[in-house]
Amino acid sequence: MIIPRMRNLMLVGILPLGLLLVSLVPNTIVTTAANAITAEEMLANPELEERARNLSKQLRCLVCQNQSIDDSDADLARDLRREVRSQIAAGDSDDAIVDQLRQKYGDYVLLNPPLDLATMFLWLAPFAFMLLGGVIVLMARRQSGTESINELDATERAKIEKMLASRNGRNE
Amino acid sequence: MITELGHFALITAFVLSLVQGFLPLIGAARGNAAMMLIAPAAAISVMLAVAFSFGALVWGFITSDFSLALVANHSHSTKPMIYKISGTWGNHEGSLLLWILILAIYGGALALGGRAMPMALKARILAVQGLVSTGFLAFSLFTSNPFLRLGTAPLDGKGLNPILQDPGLAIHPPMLYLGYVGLSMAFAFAVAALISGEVDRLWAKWMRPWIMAAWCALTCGIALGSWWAYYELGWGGWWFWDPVENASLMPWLAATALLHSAIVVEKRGQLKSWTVLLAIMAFSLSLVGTFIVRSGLLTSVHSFASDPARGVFVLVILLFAVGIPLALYAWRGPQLVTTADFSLTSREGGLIANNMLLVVATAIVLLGTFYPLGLEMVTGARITVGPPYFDATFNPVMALLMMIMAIGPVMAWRHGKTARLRVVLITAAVGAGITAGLTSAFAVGFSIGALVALGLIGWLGAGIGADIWQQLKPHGGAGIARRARRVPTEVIGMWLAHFGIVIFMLGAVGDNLYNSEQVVRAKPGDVIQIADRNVTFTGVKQVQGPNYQALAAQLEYRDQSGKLFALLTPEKRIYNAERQTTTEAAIRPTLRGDDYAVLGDGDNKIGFTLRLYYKPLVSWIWGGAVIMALGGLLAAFGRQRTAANQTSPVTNSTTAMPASGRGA
Amino acid sequence: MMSQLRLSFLLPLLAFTALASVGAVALYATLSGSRDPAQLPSVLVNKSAPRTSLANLMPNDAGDNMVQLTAFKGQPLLVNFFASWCAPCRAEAPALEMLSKRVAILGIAYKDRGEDTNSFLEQYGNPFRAVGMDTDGRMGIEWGVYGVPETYLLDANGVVKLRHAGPLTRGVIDATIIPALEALGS
Repeated sequence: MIIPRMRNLMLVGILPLGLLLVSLVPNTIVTTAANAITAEEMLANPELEERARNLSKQLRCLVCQNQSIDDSDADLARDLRREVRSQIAAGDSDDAIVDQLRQKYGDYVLLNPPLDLATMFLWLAPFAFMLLGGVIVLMARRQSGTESINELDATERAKIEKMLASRNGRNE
Repeated sequence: MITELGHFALITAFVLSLVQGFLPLIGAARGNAAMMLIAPAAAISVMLAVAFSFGALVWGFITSDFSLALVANHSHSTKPMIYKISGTWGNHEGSLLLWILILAIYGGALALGGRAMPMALKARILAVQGLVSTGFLAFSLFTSNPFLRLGTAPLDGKGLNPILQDPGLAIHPPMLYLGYVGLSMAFAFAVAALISGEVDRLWAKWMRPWIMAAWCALTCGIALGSWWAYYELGWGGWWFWDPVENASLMPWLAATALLHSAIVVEKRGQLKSWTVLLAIMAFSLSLVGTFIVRSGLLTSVHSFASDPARGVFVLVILLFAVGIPLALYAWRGPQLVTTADFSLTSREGGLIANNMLLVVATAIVLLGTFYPLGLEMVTGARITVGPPYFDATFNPVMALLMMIMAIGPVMAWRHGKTARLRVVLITAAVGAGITAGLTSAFAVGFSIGALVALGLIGWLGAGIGADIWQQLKPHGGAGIARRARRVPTEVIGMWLAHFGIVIFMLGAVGDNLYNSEQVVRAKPGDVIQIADRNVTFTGVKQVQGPNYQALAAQLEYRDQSGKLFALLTPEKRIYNAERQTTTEAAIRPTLRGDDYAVLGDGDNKIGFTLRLYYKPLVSWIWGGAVIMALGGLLAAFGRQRTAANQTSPVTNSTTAMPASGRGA
Repeated sequence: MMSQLRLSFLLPLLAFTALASVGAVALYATLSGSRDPAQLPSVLVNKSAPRTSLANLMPNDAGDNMVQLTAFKGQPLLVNFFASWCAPCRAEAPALEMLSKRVAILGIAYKDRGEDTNSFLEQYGNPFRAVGMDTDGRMGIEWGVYGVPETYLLDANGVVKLRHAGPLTRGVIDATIIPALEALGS
């Protein structure tokens, strides 16, 4: 049984916890800029337009390869953008709009995978990886003990002498 | 004729690499010097043969030899010469041959250099290289032969996808492959070590330049690809968590962990099994990347024409090239574990954390990339794992890494708590507080995630600065210059590389948080305001290019005082031969930020759609990557100044006393 | 403890095996044809088809200006989204012609203009019992259409049984449409 030292446990425990905390915060550091919109599509109300843009960034262009409908020039993307805006203008909530599209196109249309049974593993895995990593590191240390070793032993010393000798021999 | 010779050379290389793969291994096992010496000879011959073969293929493209199926399908007589040449690797078969070429050059380089290495080790390393080459040469010859002829040559070719006709493309794949394939050397070192059971400090020392060369090339290659996507694809984005991008990021993450881990083996004889595993992982991920790109299983803007049959071949190569070494590792790995003689709060501990976090990050990217495929196999459902997922999971891990980056290098070996560490910690914390405080005071309306990012930038920047100051400040009679000369080159490299990350983050955050955007439908004469610029759209012009026609919008940029400071001309191009339209964004890069303009559809009556952006600090993204690579180069090839007067493992000159005086 | 540690050395190999298995199974499925990466599975399968009421391309003498999906209840029905500007739609015209003898087909012209649709039908034949106009593509979104042509098979109660994205070829018809029709007793 592993009985890790309190301090090490804290170190290992804090990392996944920290991960959890930070990931709960909406994180938008590395996202693409917008681009395929035309002026006519944009809603007059800037707040609603902002909502529309954010929603569009989460929806996949189904006929493109890995682009959002916000980014894509494709006809279908344009149609879906228009659909999203008309529903926002009609007063639907973000969740309702996304849900409606999910009803028609499936989970594939979401760039952010949903949180359900099928993707449970996907979402839990990062934490599991961190925990696993920490556990392995601690186990390895526990097992190895603390003998000091850094002296060369006789065999290693002899090997080095031989290598140095043959190298010197070659150089001369 | 030359083509046939090239084909023959490729077959010769295949046979030779078979020889290179097997005989030296037997020789090393038996101690037979003659057999072992076959390795360098074979490696050099393979290099020459593949070089000739590749040259023959390039010749076919240069002379527009349309009887070659590859040239007919991917080239055209009106293409500019540079794109004729770079078109050689703008397709599956040619790029595969490029991969093989670089593999052969690395093998030949080791054969020619590496004089200090024991014969058996060198033989084993080259043998492993030879086996990998054999696999890829077989892949090329049997499924993707670039030298196939057409029965009747067409009058002209089908042309190269216009998006690929670009200087960035000319360099991006070769640079990337220098990285991917370079990792095969570290891989070979690791497998050779697993076979012989010997991992020691000299092994790590010899491996280091190969790791660094590959890592620097990969850093540049990824940066180039990102920069190319930024200006070529017209989206203004620079990273999309696309499967093929992920395929290049994963080996990079593993290689970063590897280069740090190898340092510990070299200096302290610790973390041997970690290093071996990372070396195997890094190249395995390169191979997985090849699988992703060429098997057609995962859709991506980057994929070559997909062919599942080829995917099978790559999978077989994977099974042998990755499965066998990992099995070897499972068996022999435990024997490499050395007893740890350091506490967790030490530089070794920091590097273990570094290893672990990078491996976790790699695992996250790998999982996210393959999950849709896996789920589809199990339930038939199709989902997308896109940028939002990776932002939520990958970024926090990198954040933790950035925190460690400031304090790890400053800790002493074995026991880390030193005065030097304390100073750096405090400075870093203050730095973080300042940047976070400043941003929340002055900027308005952004996420907590951004605040964290800025805090991290302050933390790392201040931490590095504090370390540099501590090492350089006048002390004990020596002035700054004298102390600077005493700092080992590899430490300077480390500072530079870590600082490169700060620059990179500034670019990423600056662009993400503070960019401006205007989407308008403009008629000639309209003035658009963006950031602090006034842009006058004076109309569109017809432009004739070498193999395309274009509509170019004329945009005059004026500053607040009315002075004209730039003319941007975004284009919509129609390529004649390929009959494809592309959008060419107009970009004006400066240190402060980029002006970015895109021309959309329209005409003079209803006006044209114009998308204008101002992206602050965005070039710092790639600048940061270049600085990182420079730092890596310095660290790799800098003279080890302290090595000469050392009897104990290399430490930095002002590290506090290790262990002595404290109970150990 | 040692064996627990040894186990962790097996992890990379196990992870790789899992990954390789996924790849192998996926490759096999793709090569054997049971998986087509271009086909997005429809979410509507085994659900009622969306309410569909569209302008009639060819109003008949009775003055029916609208085409209603409900009018076709009581029999299996193929719903085919097509357009005059769609090249593969021309290729599948003979297949539709052949199928129309066996099952009723409702055509929906997707983002098309009336006169263009008429020319298309004149040139390539009209296998449809009726043609509705989905001029702005909104009805397509209701059905989860992401390209043309797309064909849906509905049973007598208006429940979607299958969807094929892409042109109907001999192979597709024999492999999927005919068996499904037979299962419905047609």
